[in-house]
Amino acid sequence: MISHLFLSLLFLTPGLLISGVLKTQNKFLLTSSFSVFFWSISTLILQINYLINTFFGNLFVGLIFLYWFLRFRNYQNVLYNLFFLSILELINNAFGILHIVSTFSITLEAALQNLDYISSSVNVPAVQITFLKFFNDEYFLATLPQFLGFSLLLSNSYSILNFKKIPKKYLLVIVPAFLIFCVILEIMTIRSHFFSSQILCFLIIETLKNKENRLNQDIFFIFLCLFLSSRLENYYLYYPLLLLILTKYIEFEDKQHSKIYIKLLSSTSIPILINYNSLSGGDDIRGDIRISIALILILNIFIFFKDKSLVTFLYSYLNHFFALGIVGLALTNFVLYNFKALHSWLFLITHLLDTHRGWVIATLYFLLLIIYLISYSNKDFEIKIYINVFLTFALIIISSPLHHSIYGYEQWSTGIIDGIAIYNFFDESQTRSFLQLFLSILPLSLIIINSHKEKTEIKN
Amino acid sequence: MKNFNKLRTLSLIFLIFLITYLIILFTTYGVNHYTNPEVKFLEDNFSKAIPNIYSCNFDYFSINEHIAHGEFERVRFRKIITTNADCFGKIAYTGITPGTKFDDIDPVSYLEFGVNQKLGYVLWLFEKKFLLFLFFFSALLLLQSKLVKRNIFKYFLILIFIYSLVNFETYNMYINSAKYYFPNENSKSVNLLNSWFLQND
Repeated sequence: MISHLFLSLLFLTPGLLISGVLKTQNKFLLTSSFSVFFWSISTLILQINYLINTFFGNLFVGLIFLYWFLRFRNYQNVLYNLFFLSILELINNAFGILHIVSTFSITLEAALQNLDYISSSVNVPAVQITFLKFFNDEYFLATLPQFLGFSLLLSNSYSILNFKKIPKKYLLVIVPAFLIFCVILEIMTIRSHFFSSQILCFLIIETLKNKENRLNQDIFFIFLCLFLSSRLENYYLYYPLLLLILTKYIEFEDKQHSKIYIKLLSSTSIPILINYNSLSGGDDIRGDIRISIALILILNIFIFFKDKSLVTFLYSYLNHFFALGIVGLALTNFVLYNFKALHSWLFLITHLLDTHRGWVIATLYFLLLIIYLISYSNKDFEIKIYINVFLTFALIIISSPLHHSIYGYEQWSTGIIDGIAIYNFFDESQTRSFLQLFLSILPLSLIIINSHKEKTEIKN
Repeated sequence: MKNFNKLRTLSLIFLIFLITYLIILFTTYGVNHYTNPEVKFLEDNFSKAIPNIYSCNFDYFSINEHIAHGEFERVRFRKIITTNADCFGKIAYTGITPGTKFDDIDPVSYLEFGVNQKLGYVLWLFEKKFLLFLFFFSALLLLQSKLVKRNIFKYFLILIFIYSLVNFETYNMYINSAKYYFPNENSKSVNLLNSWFLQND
């Protein structure tokens, strides 16, 4: 118990300090995200790991905690977070709620290397590596991914309830999704998809809010940085969505002030540094750091020149260009891989429409959510976002041959499909990306259920 | 009014997509497994015993119905792609000796069956519970397209909730082993320490 509390406080202290500095002490649910933001830097600056696994490092963190405690006196924040994390740990230790998969071992390998002050080139994101750094001889803090994901899920849900003025009882709306077996299975793994999905949801919600309802700008950029460092493929799959979100977010902010562009540049490039080792280590497109750098530069240029006519034109028709890009990618894949590309798409569609583990339920639910969100939105920008989410779903499917050609090995290269089980090892990464996308828009279903819709429409 | 039209149009598109896909499945697999005498044949010839499975001689539906009589806890149907049109929706294999009586099999032992399917064409038509879900789902979509001024999203959620709850135990198992996903003893803190660190010392 003491080990558990000690490790929890060790993890939470940087987050408590950041929330104190950013004056968000009353936003208890964001504290853990700030913590993971700080600790994920330890994947790059290995010396930070001294704070985790040496006595003097722990003592230093203890002093920081003491400083925070005396300076900010925000007892509720620490108590809430300790309580929530302890509940999850207790449940796991009583029933065993985690789903341990092969990613666990490679992530742990990377975490152990970091704790030995060795940089790891294992192709997993820094945030995920951070999840497995908090243990000692007596205790292993294993439910950090769930703690972070659920904290942010609740934060996002409350945020929507507040700014749309929806009664709290409607929070129940998000419960059925967590009974779908494939969803439970994913969120109970030691992977960062669930957390990453909620960061994206946070960014969308902040963008949808009016300026006066938004949180501190710095928090938005910290979360943008976290989003890009939480999954390596986020650079690719969510690029058009990020263009939409950031252009809109900055539109309401003080554009004349150059500080915002510096913040944008920093928050989008720091993830490349944080994930430097992971981005250099893989076999696939995610392992080519030059592409990530190029994408970030283009993104910043796009936002910086957002008022120029060419960029305005591109922005106005972003979803059209995105759709064209997907068609182009499909054709390219077909030219490159021929019938194997078709097999990839069909394998993925078969997986997503199969009844086992409730995959088809998650797929139907996702499509239903998109339909309702588009229909119940009054603003063009919101509709644009939801159409973009749907196109991202299409991108996940269309890009599957690029993934299968790397991870399909003999099964892919021979092109023989007879005898292959529909749940095979080389299509799971794409399906996890789908679940991440689904979870990203799940809290937005609260908007749909809002029984005061007509009143809101009148106000708008 | 504009939004109401959008909801109607999108709901109908979704419904048409579902029905079209269902028709495609129908032309691939048919639904005669609900009426064919195979279930009775199995009952008469392999009463409470494992039938002799070879050359796609039994379909997924019949074997599922037949095995259900055994009330086994760990039956797995592993779906496998085939290009042989004669084997679509048919049982490909089982690891259990033909003729083995249900009484001689431990109720908690792992029973695996392979089911053949065409790539891209799922086996919804063989799964009664899902067909029931799909019926209500489609009915709600149709209802929403008619009653656009009423928000019936919550009924979809209730349907999803009930279906997921009913099937939770069925899904809570590995497809290629006798293990369950939850509870998972290995994920407890003490077991994580034991398996990953003490063993590697």
